[in-house]
Amino acid sequence: MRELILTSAPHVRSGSQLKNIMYDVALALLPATVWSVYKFGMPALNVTLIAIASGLAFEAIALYMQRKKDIVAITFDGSAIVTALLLALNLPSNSPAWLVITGSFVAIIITKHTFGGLGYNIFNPALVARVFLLISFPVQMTKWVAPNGFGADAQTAATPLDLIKTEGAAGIEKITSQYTNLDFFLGNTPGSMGEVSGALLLLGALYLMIRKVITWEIPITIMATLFAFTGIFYLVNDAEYASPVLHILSGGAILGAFFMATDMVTSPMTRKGMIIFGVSIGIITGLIRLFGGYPEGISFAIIIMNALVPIIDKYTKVKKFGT
Amino acid sequence: MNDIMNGWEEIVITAISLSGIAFLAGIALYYAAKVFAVEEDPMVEEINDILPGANCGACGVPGCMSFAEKVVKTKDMSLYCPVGGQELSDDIADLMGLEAIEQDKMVARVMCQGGHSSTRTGEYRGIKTCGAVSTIHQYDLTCPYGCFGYGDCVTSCDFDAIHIVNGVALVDEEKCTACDACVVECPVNIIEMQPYDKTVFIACKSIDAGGAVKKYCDVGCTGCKKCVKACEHEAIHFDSFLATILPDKCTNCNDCVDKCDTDTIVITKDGIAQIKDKLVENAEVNV
Amino acid sequence: MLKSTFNLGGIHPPENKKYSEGKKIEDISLPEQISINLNQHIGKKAKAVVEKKQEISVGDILGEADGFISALVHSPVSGTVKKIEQKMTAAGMVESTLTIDVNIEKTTEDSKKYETKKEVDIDQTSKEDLLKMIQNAGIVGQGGATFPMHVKLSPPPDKKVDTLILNGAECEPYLTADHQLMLENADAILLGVRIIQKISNVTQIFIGIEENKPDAIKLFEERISAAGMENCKVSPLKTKYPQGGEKQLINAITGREVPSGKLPFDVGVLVQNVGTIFAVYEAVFYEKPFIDRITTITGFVKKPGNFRIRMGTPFAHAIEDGAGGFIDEERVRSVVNGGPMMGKSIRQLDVSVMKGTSGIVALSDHEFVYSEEGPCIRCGRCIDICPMGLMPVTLADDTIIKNGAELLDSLDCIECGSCSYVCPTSRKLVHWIKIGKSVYRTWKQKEESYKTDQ
Repeated sequence: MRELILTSAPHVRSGSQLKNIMYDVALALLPATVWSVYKFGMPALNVTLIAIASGLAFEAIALYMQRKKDIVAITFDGSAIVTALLLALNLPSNSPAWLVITGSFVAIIITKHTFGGLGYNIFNPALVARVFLLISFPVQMTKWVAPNGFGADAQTAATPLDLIKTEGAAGIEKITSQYTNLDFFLGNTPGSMGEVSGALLLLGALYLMIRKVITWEIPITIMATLFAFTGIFYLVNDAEYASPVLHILSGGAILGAFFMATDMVTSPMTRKGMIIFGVSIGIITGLIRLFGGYPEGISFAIIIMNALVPIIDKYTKVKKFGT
Repeated sequence: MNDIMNGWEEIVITAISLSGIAFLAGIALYYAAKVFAVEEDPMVEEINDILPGANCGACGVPGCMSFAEKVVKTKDMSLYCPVGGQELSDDIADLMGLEAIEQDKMVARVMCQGGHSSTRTGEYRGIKTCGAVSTIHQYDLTCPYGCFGYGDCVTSCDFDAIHIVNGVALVDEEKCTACDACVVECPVNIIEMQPYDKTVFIACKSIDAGGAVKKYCDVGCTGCKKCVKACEHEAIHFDSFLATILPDKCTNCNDCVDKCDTDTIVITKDGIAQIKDKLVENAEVNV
Repeated sequence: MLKSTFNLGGIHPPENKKYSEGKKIEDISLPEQISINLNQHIGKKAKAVVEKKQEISVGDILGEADGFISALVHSPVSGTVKKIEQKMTAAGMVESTLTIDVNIEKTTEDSKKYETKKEVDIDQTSKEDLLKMIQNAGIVGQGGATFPMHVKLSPPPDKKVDTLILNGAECEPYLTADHQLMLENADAILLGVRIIQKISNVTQIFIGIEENKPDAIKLFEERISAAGMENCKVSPLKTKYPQGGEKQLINAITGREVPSGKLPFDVGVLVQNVGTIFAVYEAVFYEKPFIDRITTITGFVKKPGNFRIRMGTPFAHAIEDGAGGFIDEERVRSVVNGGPMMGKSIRQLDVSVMKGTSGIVALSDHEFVYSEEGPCIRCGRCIDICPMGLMPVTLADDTIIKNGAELLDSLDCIECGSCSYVCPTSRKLVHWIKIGKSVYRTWKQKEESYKTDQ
């Protein structure tokens, strides 16, 4: 008989481990990714594949440099793949390879591994990469493509939020005459690869909620707050301000609220904290969208709130039993 | 030319105003230092300057500054800093103008040489620190009294004086400052303080009967009493199948060492205990 | 049927009770040698009162209680004391242990004295006499905590206890001993309840049973009304781990919350395991000391089931004789003394059954999955499921950096194992919190010593 193994209690473990969680998220993002390839064509597929390949490569390099054991197992634990997919969905579909690889580098090596690797990063890697690319390469990052379908020629177009920011009331007029709310929902508007498929993203998010990977607190509060914030201004002046329904369906709102803000490592652990987090993101996003210099604000909002997560966790301690 | 003269004006005004502010700040600080000055015996500063500054707490007081304050306040020369040793005690006594007290240099000694010479039962998996395995009482070392070898003592030592060699902790007595950190850290209390000058000790704490000890360790004390009989100075105490050398009576004659069949009695040479596996050329230093 | 549950956290691990559920309690044959250790309970160790080579009979006292918070240790067999030595126990500690060579015929003969039921009128017997019988039988809590029962039944005079709760929850996966005991000895348990009622003067009695044992719930409801016990009723509980934890049980049934650092009698409740109550019944009606208990042997064994095992029986003998041995010896990876969530894994099979051995679970490489700790991914699952409302992730982090000042909350941890169970990166949270308790105590001691130094 072999030696008996001694371990601390408990001696059994839940089946839902890190790999299961990460691959569930990747699975949830798959419908939206496939749809974006369908709508944008081969360039979108290229961006996705380059993002995944470079993400895994950088992950392996970073692990090797840290002299970690089990490099292959850790590289394929799913976290790099999820980051890569999220990054891809944030980019314009005709992004050149160098842009994607740079983004991957910033996400994996700088935002994740220099802070200590999985579990230690303060900021959401895919978002920091997106913001980095946006600020460093504004031209390439704002060359949005109209989703004309697989095989169609790429036609650059402004996103609805762009139009609102640059042309104000006239822009709103243009958008509401051209698109209906359903268009936003089903992905018929120009935008990044992930912006165009709100319905499929929501489907993926629903799957994650059923699998208990994400909980309702963060995404629903972000959406509700954004809706309320933009709604107040819309009620005051519906010519200058776009309808709240447009706001929550367009831009990176759905992708940001359901997939980026809910990233476990960079969001609060306590339920109360999650609600504070969500409300704050909603408000900041609204502020940037309506009054800030950028048309889309959710990326910045999430990154700002990521920095405050430790203090939110500290001050929203759970009520102990017996107190 | 006019432009240059105008430019110089700005520079001069800036320079004068900043200097003025600095001057006023200086005066304010001077007075603040006077008004808020803390009364302190200059002797405390002097003594603190010659202390090692390790803030290890081995002297029994938290920190070197507190030690200096206590010495000056109580004028108690028995307060001993093990890191600085006798030399430091003499220096402090000189500064204070008092008599120094002679104290023996003490060192930590690990009363175990088991390591790879002893057996394991079961395989422990989990947090690999001595404190962790001791908390849940799940260790795979068969001997219930010996060193686990995970190195909590090594982590606690500020002076690089203890390492795990071939699975058991071993002290470098030259570097050891008797600060007590490893003694306190060890969950099985297998490290003891002994005088550096006494170079013989029995590296075992097992109170099991000889037959049982032989099953789990090649170098454990079986309680055969041969050392007790060999000692002409009555320096070996025997209780519950375990012999212990009393440092006060030991004369380093080494008669007991030769008599011990299991090599349990160990001599220190150049500050390193010559434990059985240490003598092996390529002793594996783990931590 | 209104099913209650506790208000914070909880998990639903796979029950795995089907292996031994419904299996009638069988006796394990007497081994040739037993090892009884003198520290099978909370409190001071018992002191040995027998010597080497002494002849003893079933029921003789082997160890005297040392003070009030201690328990007697009786001999479960007749035979000769072979040796008294320090030996490794099933709890992983080295204790003073008596090894006894068993005289099988004599033991069987001598045990017959415990088969005749005595005439005892509970109402006529005084509370002090009943308490003495319990103390003399060396009964300790059988739920795993092993607290001496006579101490539990003697709360300080200012603590009034009005409710008795019988813990029939058995929330640990794999274990079915309590369930089987309830099915086979319902009336005896109810008599035991009446004894406790006489001693502690409670006004209401609840029998907490999880809803995964509907036959036990139904049976007890019938037997309670048959016995005409008016202030006693069954309280069905939702199946959730750790429903059997006494604080959670009290909260689920009465809604009261035991304050941090306090005990059940501070909210007027007394909690007892059904096995312990049965032992009380045997002590009073059969004058039988606590020499055997019902244990589930299950997992990777040929015939899992529920067994009556005498104290001191080696695990190897119990597994071989009762459960038919392991299904495949080569594939056994771990054997646990107790349930898989809170029990201790043993390192060799020659350790012996103790008063707190509620189960023997053998895990093969299929059930036993071990991974090294990964980094915390801040998912917050441990916080969501903690039944005590603690934050295991923070406690573990503070323990790792030895921050004793922030570890006061670790003392409230009941070590149920839920947090380590759900952690996606296999962090050993319960282990860290256990270490955290001693980090806190060391820090507190240092703080106190600095205060007195001033």
